[in-house]
Amino acid sequence: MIRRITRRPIDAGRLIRKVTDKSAGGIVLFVGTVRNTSEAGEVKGIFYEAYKEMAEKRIEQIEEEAKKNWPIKKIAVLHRVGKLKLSEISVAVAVSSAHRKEAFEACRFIIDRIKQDAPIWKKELLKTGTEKWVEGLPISNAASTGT
Amino acid sequence: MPKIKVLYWAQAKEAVGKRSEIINLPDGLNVANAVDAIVKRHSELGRIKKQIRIAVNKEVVDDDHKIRDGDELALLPAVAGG
Repeated sequence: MIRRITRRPIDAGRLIRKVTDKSAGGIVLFVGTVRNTSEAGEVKGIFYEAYKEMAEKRIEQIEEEAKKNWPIKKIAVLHRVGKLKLSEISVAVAVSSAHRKEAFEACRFIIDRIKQDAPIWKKELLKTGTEKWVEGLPISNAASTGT
Repeated sequence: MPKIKVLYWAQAKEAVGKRSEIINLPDGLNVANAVDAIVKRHSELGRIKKQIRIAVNKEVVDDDHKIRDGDELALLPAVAGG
């Protein structure tokens, strides 16, 4: 299985190279980075935790679904875990296709679904010294999302 | 008596104070019954129970899914990746 969860810093250029394809007319790259503010206040870093085996499986399923919905050439996804500093890359999604429209749409679909469906959690490390798990939505059931 | 592995993630891990444990359950339980048994062992989970979804062997399942010997049951708090 292709690795999709990593402890090491993400090299976005590497993802671009991975999806580069002679038949593609464009590549869309989304890069998520650690922001210095949140609803909880000023943030100095984020700790990411993943149920690795399940998250990699879910991301692979999401990629397959994107390939069914759009004529995509290649997809590469990498999500970081561990303690990240401000501006570090937490997630990167690269999609190549013959025309830009489907690459933009598929990239958006993939990142949105990862945030909703993949068992990955984040804890904000606040400037005040406190730490806070970010509570989003309960994870979706794969059956209810058509995969 | 089914013996299962329970994985605690994120808030659940911090509430319980451990990453995983092996527990024995009575025969014939479904996921909802198993969660009740786990919350009974670890009352700290009561507060976040509503936000938790359950995965069995790495697939999110519904409450009526039957538990089998050797299952890996994971407590998944609400996610916010990315």
